[in-house]
Parts: sequence; structure tokens; C-alpha cells
Amino acid sequence: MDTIPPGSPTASGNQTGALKSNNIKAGLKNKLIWTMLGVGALPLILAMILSYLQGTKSLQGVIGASFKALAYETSTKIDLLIQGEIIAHDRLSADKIIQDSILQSHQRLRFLNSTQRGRVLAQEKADWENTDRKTKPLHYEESSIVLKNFLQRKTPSALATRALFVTDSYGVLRGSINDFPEFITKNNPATEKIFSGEKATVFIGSIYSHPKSDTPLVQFAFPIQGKRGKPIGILHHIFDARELFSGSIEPITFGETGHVMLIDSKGVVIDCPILPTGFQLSDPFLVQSVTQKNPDWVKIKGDGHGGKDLSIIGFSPLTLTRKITTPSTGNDWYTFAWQSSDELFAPMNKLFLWISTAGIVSVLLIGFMGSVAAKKIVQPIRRLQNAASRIGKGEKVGPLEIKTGDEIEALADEVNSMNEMLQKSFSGLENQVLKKTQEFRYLKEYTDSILMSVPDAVVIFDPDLKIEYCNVAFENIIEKKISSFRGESLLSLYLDPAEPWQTLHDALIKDLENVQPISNRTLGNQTIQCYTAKDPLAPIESPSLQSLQRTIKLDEKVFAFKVFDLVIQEGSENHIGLLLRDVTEEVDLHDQLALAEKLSGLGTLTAGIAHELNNPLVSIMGFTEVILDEKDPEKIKKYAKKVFDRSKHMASVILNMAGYVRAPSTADKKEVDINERIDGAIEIAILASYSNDIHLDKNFSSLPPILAKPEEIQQVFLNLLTNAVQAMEGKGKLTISTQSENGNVMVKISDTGPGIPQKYLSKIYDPFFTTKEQGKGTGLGLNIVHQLVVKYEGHIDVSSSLEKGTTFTIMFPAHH
Amino acid sequence: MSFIEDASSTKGKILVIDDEPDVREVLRIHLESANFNVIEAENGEEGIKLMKSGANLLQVGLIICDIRMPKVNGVEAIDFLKENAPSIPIIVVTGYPDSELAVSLLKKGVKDYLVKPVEKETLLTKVKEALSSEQEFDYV
Repeated sequence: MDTIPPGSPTASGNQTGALKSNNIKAGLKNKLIWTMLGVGALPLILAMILSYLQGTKSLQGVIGASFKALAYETSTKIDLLIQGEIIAHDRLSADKIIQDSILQSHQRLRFLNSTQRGRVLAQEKADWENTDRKTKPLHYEESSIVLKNFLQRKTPSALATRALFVTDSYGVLRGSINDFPEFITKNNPATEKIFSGEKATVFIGSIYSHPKSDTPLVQFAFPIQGKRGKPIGILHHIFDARELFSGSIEPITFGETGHVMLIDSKGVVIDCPILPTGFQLSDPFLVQSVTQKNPDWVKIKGDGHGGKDLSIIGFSPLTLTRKITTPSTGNDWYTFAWQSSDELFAPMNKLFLWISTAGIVSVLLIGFMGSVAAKKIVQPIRRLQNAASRIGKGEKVGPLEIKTGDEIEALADEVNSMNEMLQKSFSGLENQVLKKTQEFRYLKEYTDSILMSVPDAVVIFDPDLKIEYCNVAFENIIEKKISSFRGESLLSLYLDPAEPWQTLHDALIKDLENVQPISNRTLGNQTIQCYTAKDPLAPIESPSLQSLQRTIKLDEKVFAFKVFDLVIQEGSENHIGLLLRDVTEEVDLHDQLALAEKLSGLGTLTAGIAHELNNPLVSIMGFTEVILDEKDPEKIKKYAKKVFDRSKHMASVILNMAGYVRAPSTADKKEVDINERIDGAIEIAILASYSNDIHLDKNFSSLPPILAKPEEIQQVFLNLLTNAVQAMEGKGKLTISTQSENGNVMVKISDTGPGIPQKYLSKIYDPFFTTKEQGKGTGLGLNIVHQLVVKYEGHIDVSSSLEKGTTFTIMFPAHH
Repeated sequence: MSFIEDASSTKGKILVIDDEPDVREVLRIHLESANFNVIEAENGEEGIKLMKSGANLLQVGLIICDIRMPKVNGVEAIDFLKENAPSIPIIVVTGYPDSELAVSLLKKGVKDYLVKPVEKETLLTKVKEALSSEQEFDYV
């Protein structure tokens, strides 16, 4: 039996071990047991308590009633005993001998005076008290014999007799069975009662002690009636009180301590098996309670025997005897049935014990059966719970077999079907997940292998510019593995030399603020065009280092880098990507191309020179040949003039081209005064124009210097001014102004030429683009201007309106 | 000039296409000194227009053409002329010495490719060669 007391620490220990993780404080089983105990044991205990109380009360009633009956029976018995004695003594008192002895005594004494009487009585007393006389009877030997004969009866009263004697109206002893009495009885309450009353009545006295007796005595006195019914003497009968009644009382016992006793209304014990006769009961309340007029029983504290426990006492007055004792002494006699409370309440205690035992056994039984029942109920639920928790963990669980035939079985069926459906959908899901995982893995490998195979280095940074990813190409560049620097920033790698990496880092920081999604961009104009033969004078785009991406140089290798941002997830912070492409070869190629282009430019220039110069040479040669054959001086002069004009034109063409052909200066940059350089340019341009119709409007402010090569700055303005002068075809107004603005130097050059059509504005910086007529331009002037302006981090802008003119605005940063 | 002269000098009528007036004047002087009749055009477009007008398709015996010209340039003009009047010989006179261009033009049937400046004697010799070989060319 596993009835571990509910609530003990181990109560839920053995079977709930597996459930501890589920935070179950009180198991269902315990709850069920408690419920059963509550439902079963509580009313049971209540019922037991009630029945105990009721049973106790009934038992007390029964005990009380039987005690009362016992007391009554005993009282009746004693009444009868006393009545029997009275009748017997009545007869005795009427005995002729006794009457005669009294009458004779009266005869003798009646006529004597008191002195004589005293003398006679003294003589008689002396005779009585003489020890020698004791062997001789009294004067009235006959009456003593009658008395002695009376005691021949073997009744209890005869045995209890201590004295039986007769006295006359003078109180003089007139017959006795022994020498117990005094010769003259004086002050006897019986004498007074019997002689004072109108009618002769029996006297029963109270218990008293006598020096001649060890035990308390009780006196019965019967009147001896004369002829006229008047009392003439008294028959005294003195009993040992206890002995007289013990025959009627002491045999009545019940149980160990139960007995009946006889008391008078003052609480003096007349007869009791335990207490001595004459004992005064100490508890007046008890005495009052048990000395009622009618037989009854009481439940009372105290037992009259010194105990203070609760007692049940049955009592009954001696109804016949009362008629004698009340007038005699004012006392009534009562019988009194009593048992010690320990014994008396033993059945009740036993009842209580039984009921308690039954209660405890019932509770234990309920607990045990409850536990068994709960176990039966809970076990399938536990199995269900276990199964559910395993299902919850995703384990595969077979169908549950619970055959309780109740709701739990139905629940188990539901769980089974649920589990089945779950497993079905799980397996579908698993397949899908597997498939998706494979797809994902494939995609990831695909992407990874793309990134790994890409020759360009790709590095992905998180928003704090810590490296999150890089591909093999990048690992090869820095000769480290990603595992050793993931989460580091570029600078914390301490790569040597530090400068290019610092450049990259700065670019990342700068771009972090204004990156655009890569999808919105293309890698753009990074493509380096192949050189192919084409019309050398047609406008082409020149590959220039300016148009290349930003580059860094690492170990003799040049890398173009590009920063892009990477939105990995909508709403997440931007990741920054860095693309490093080894453009060493491309740069080399570009340099070669640039050289080739330059050579080609030279070739083109040569072609241009040839074209530009051959045409005037045609004229010069032609006209010269004409002159050689010509006789007419007018014509000769005319043709000579033409030869001179054409020669001058050739000179200007050569001058114009000088700037382009000039070898690159090796001089270092120095501080350049723009105003000075413009003046130099104007001089050449105006000279080259061979025109006197150009109105020059100079408006120079004092300027801070810029840092540049002076001849290149002069080239810029020379080309612009030459263009302007040529555009105006030698006639017009040329306005040149300079000013300092926000740390920049700004130059405006306006002409009043025909203007540049809108469609050409975007092409004017292209090399070899020209709108000029044949022989007036190489199409390189503005291209050179643009390259030089960009080189010095300046800015060039153009505005033009047809028929009105063109304005170029050039800005260079001032040198501080 | 009389009509007969006009007609008789059919083979001698030469169209000069060049954007430089000075060049055209020099060429005219040189050709006229050898009794060629010269008409001028400033560019390819004007030359083609001129060829389409009157009897020039019949009368012009030779075309002297520059290459780099505004509007319709020499190459385009030559393409048109070779298509519409393949029998008229063309001599290119250009200031642009480009052998590739020269080869491609000669393949198209251009008689000669002269580089400026051209001496008078050379010019007249080439013109006469072109005019004399014209018949042979037709029969080839």
C-alpha cells in the first residue's frame, strides 16, 4: 500500500519524477485523494462525532435510569425491612409479661414520694450495676427473657442488635438483654418524642456513636401502650447501623466500583460498602441534588467519595421510613446508587475509542482506496501527458492504447488522430524543408562558388565597417585567411603599406553616408575601349585615366576599387561592399593606349598639319608658278599677295598647333598668377588672328595664386581665346574677367561669335570634335583645356546662345 | 566660247570639287592654261548637283575631287559618282596622305590619288593620262 501520508515530501515523489520538468506542483492523483478524503472522511467524522455525542447522552440516560431503579429498589427493600421490624416490635411491645413488668413497677413507685422513690431506685440501680448481680437477671427477669427470646429469631436485625431493652415511663430499665443500657435512661430523644405526642409513634433516631460501641449506632424506639392506648413504656432497640442495613445494601454491587449507599438528608452515610458509617459527605451541593423528594438520577461533578469527576448518581428516598424519621429527627433517608466515573464512563470512552478508531481506519481506507482509484484514473492521463509532451518535442510517438472506456479513452483517441495528422503534415513539411534546404544549399554553393571564382576581390562590411565576408581573391591579396580577420576593420589588419588601406577605409566611410543600392548602378564607364582604326579626325571618346575608377597601388599592382552598398534584408542596416579589381594590366594597357593615342594624335596632327598646310601650300605653289610665267605686273602682284596671305595662314596654323605638340614639361608645379597667364595667352591669340577688329575688354581683379605648371595654364587660356577669336572670325568683342570667389579663382571668357548649337555642347570637349571649317581647327583645343582643368581639380562650364556668343567659365582652387 | 567649241571640248570639261577657293583658283589657272574647260563646286553636294544639271553628265570628261569637305565629303561624292556615272574618270587631290584611304579609293575606280601640293606639270600629266585611258577603261 502506497498510502504515504498526503502532503509529506515524498507523497508525489515516486511517480511524478518524470513530470518534474512540467512544473506540476500538486499532481492530479493527490488532488483526487484529497477530494475523496474531503468528500468521504469529513461527513464520516461529523457523523461519528454526532453519534458519539448522541450515544453518550443515551448511555448516560440509560445508566441514570438503571441507577435510579436500583436506588428505588434498594429503598423499597429497606422500607420493607424497617416495616417488618416495626410490626415485629409492635407485637413484642404488646407482650403481657413486658406490660406487666412495667405496670408492676408503676404500682410500686406510684405511691412513693420522691425521696422514697429515689432510695428505691438507687437500691435497684446498685443491684443492677453490681457486678455480682450481673449473673442474676433484673427484678423483672421475665421481661428480659421475653426480650432474649425475641432475639432468638435469626434475622439480620437480631444479629445487628446491640441492645434491646424496655424502660417504663420513669425511664427506669425494666428488662434488657444485656447491660448495654443505663439503668435510668434520661434525656433520650425517643423518650421525649414518644411521651410528648398525643399518639404513640415509632421513633427512629439518627446515627450516633456510643462509648460502649466501636461502630455507629441507630436507635429504634417503640411505644409500649397501656390499656387506654397511652404509652406506658418504651421498647428500645439499638442496632449497629451498618450491620442492620448491610444485608440489604452491600450485596448490591455492579462492576468494579458500582454500589448503593444509604444516607440521610444531611449527607451522613448510614451504610456504604466503601465509606464508614457516620461519614459526613463534604459536598453540600451533591447532597442537596441527591436528596430530592422523588426517585431520580443526576449527572453531577463530584461523586461523594472524594472525586471531582463527572458522575451519574441514581437516588431514591425511603418513602415509608420517611413517615417515621421525619417526625423523629427531621431527617429523611435516601438510597444512592453510584459508580466511579472511571468505570462509569469506561463504556463511553470505549465508544469514543471505537468510533475514533473506526474513523481513522475509515480515513485511511478512503485514502488508500482513493489512492488506488486515483492511480487508476491518473495513470492513463499520465500516459496521455507523456505522449503529448513527446509529440510536443517532435518525437515520433506510436498510437496510444488506453481502454478505459470513458472520456480519457476518447481523449486518447483524439490525441492519436491529432498525432497522426501532425506526423503527416510534419513529414510533408520535412520533405519540403529538405527540398528547400537542398535548394538553399545549392544556391549558397552556387553563389559562394561565383564569389570564390570571381577574380575581383569582394569584401562585405557590416555597418560598423567590420569585415563580414571576403572571397578568395581578397584573401590572396592580403595573404591571410578570412577566419583570422573576420570582424576586424580594414585598418586593424595593420597591413603594410598602410596608406592605400587608409585610402580604402576613408572611401568606405565617405561612401557609407551616400551609398546607393547596387541595383541602381552599373559598373559604368570603367570599360577600357580597344583601339581600332577609324576616321582619325572623327570625334571619339578618349580613354583617360580620369575616367577610370579610383585606384590604389599595392605591391606594384594597381587595384581599382568601388564601393557599393548591399541591402541584405529590407529594413536592415546597410552593409557596404568593396570591390577590388586588379587593373594593373589595364592601366598598363591604358598607358600604352594613351601613348598610342598620343602617337596617333600626332599622326592625326600630322595629317591635320598636312591638310591644313598643304592647302595653303597648293595656293602658294600654284600662285608662285603662275607668277613665274606671268608677265603682267598687276597679276603678279595679285598672286604674290595671295602667296603672302597663304604663308601667313600657314604660320598661324603652326603657332596654333605648337601648344599641342609641345613636349610635356618636366618643370614642377609652382604658384601661378592667372592674370599673368591670361595676358600671355591674349598676346599669342591676337597675334595669331592677324586681325585688328577684335575689341578686347579686360576686367581683372587681384587673385590668389594657384598651384600649377604655368605653361599648361597658359595653354588653357590660349586655346579658349583662339577658339573665341576664330569663332568671331576676326571681328567682335572679347570680354575677359577674373575674380576670387570662396577660395577659388574664377575666369570668364565671353565672345560675340555665332555660338555653339545645343546639340554640340555635350561634345565640345571630345578630342577632334570641331565645328570649324577645314583648316581652322584640329578639334583638340577644348579637349586639352578640359584635361588640364580636371588635372588641376578645376571646373569648366560653358553657356552659349546662337548668334550671340559663347561664355566659358573656368574655376581653379586657389593655393593657400 | 562657241557651241561647236563647246561641243568639241566635251572631253576637256573638268569638274573641280574643293572647299578651298584658293585651291580651286590655282587648279583652274593650271587647267585653263592647258585649254581645259573648268567648272567648280565647293563641296560634294554641290558637285553632285552640278553633275545632275544640264548636260554635264555627258560633257564633263574628268572630275578632280578633294576628300575632306563640309556637307558631302569626297568619299561620299565619289561613291555617288561611280554609281551614277562610272565612265567619268576621277582624280583625288587631297592634302591628307593616307595610304589606306588611297588604296580603298583606287579600288573604287578612282584614276589617281594626288597629294597636295601638286605641281602644275604633274597635274596636267595625270589629267591627260586619265582622259586618254578613258576609252580603254570603257572596253575593259
